[in-house]
Order: sequence, then structure tokens, then C-alpha cells
Amino acid sequence: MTVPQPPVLAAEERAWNYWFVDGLTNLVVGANTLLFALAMIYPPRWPPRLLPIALWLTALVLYVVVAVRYREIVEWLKTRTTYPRTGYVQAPFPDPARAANLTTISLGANSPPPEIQILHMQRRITWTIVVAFAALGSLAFLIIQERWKWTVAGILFSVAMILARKDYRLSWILPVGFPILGLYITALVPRLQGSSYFICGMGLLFVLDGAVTLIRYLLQNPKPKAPAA
Amino acid sequence: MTPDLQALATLDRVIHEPARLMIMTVLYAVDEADFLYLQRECALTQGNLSSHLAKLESAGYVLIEKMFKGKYPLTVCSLTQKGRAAFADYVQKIRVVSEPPSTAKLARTRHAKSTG
Repeated sequence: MTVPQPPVLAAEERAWNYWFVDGLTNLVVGANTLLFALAMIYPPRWPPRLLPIALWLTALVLYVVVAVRYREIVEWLKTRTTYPRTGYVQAPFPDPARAANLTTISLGANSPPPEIQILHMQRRITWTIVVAFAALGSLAFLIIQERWKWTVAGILFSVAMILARKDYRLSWILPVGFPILGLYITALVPRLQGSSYFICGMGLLFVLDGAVTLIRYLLQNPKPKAPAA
Repeated sequence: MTPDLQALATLDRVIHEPARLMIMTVLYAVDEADFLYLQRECALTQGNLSSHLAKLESAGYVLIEKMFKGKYPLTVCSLTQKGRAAFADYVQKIRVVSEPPSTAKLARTRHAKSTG
């Protein structure tokens, strides 16, 4: 069901989605997941050797730094790619009071029309289901002891991504990639290394998704030429 | 003239102009936005946007700041408290045109008629 949004709410939603428009968020998330996977794939072994320990430690420290400074890193990248091309906007921090104010301004003091109430309820339900499927996928890692748990996890993550596509701009790479990744790990990767390889594959999928979105964005929005002096 | 129509007559003319109304709508929904973003959102030319922003700034509705994000210079615009209040007031007045009178208002009118 398509419900036309009042202009103020639509402007706010576009400002929110603008953060994801260039794929940089997924690119950084993917790269960071790869760092974590790298630390998992090459854990320090006995007897300790300097180079593997140094690499493991570097990956781990970088992972923590990127996780803590995620927003600043994405912002830094955006100042070089996105802002010169399509501008800068700061969407408001999610605040229920402000959201209620925007809704009141858009729709009047009366309660929102039923279609919009239904739309908001549908969004909340969708996101609850997305989180539930992602959590189930993660639980499959821990609970199921059989090899096919990777396939199950892959399918569950894929369903979460398909549902997330309803509200957010995600390419087909993630929904299609997760089951393939699950099947690959089930069939070809030794059981003990399954988790680290699955996380590595997950990172690669996010990097790929972010890169494709970024390339598409850059092609659609060439950098404007500076006016001649 | 009925009070509702009188309210329409007092509409803020600074906001009422379509291009400025678009700018105010976008800025009301966000914390801040730069010139380029506003230009794309409102589909206005540079000159048009500049002149409308200047009018909104002189009315005290919009704050325009020059800043740097890294090496990239930005002209960042945001609504002032006065601007937010003016926009909310404008929307309230314009709503009178489309919305049916509330039950309370109707009751007040009936009461006034029956007593007067």
C-alpha cells in the first residue's frame, strides 16, 4: 500500500535515507567485519610468533577503533565524495518528542489518518521481524551443532535483508549472497573455521554491496565543476 | 469576515511564497542542510535559492553559517527558534482552509447561538 507522505515527514525521511545513499556506510561496516573475521581466522597460536601476533593484534585494534569511530570515519569519507556532489544534510537524532511534533505539524492536531497509522505500524512490525530473523541467524551459530547451520543462518540473514529492502535502499547482493555463502561454508569449509569464514563472507558481501552502491552513486552524480574565476 | 478567514488574512507572507515554503519545509524537518542539498531538494537555481534564503535570513527565520567539513566549504542553513515557531503558526493557519471545524468548536458555536 502506497501512502503519500505529508511534505515535512517525507523531507525528514529523505534526509534519513541520504545517509545511506552513497553506500559508504555498508562499505565501512563490511571492511570492519572483515577486520574482525581476520582476527578470528588467524588467532595467536602456541608457540607464539611475533608476526602472527602483531597481525592479529593490529586487526583487533583496528576493528575496535573503526567500531568506536564509525560515524567520524563515514563522515570523513562523505566530505570527500558525497557533500561536494549532492550536498550535506544533518537529519535529526531520533527523538520521540520531535517525531510527534513533526507528525502534528504534518497532519494536524488530530490523530494521523488510519492509512498513515497502518503504514507506521507496518514499518515497526517489519523492523521487529528483520531484527528477529537476524537474531535467529546469529543464534543458529551457537545452538545448532550440525554443519548445515551455516545454510540455515544464511537463509535467515537473507530473509532479514529481503524484509529490510522494503524500507531501505539495499541491493540484491545481500539477500542473494547470504544463502550462497551459507551453502558454500556448509559444503566446503572445515567445521571449526565455519564461524570465522561466515563472518568474513558477510563482510565481503557488505563491502560488495557498498562498492556497487558507491559506483552507481558516483556515476549518477559527477562532481560539479568549479565555476571559472 | 469570520475569524477563520481573518486568520488566513494574517498569513506570514515571508513563508507563503512557494519557494520559501519549500525551503522552510525542508529545514523544519532536518537539523541543518547545506546550500547544495537545499538546491537539489527544492529544484531551485543558485540565484533563486540565494535570494529566497536572504529574505528568510533577514526575517530572522533562517541562520546561514559558512563552515568547513574537512577541506570542503559548506554554506549551512538551519531554522532559528523564531523560524520554527513561524512555520508552525503558518501551518496552523493554513490548516483552517482544509479541516472541518472541531467538535469542540462546533459545540461552542451552538452554545453561543442558543444563549445569544
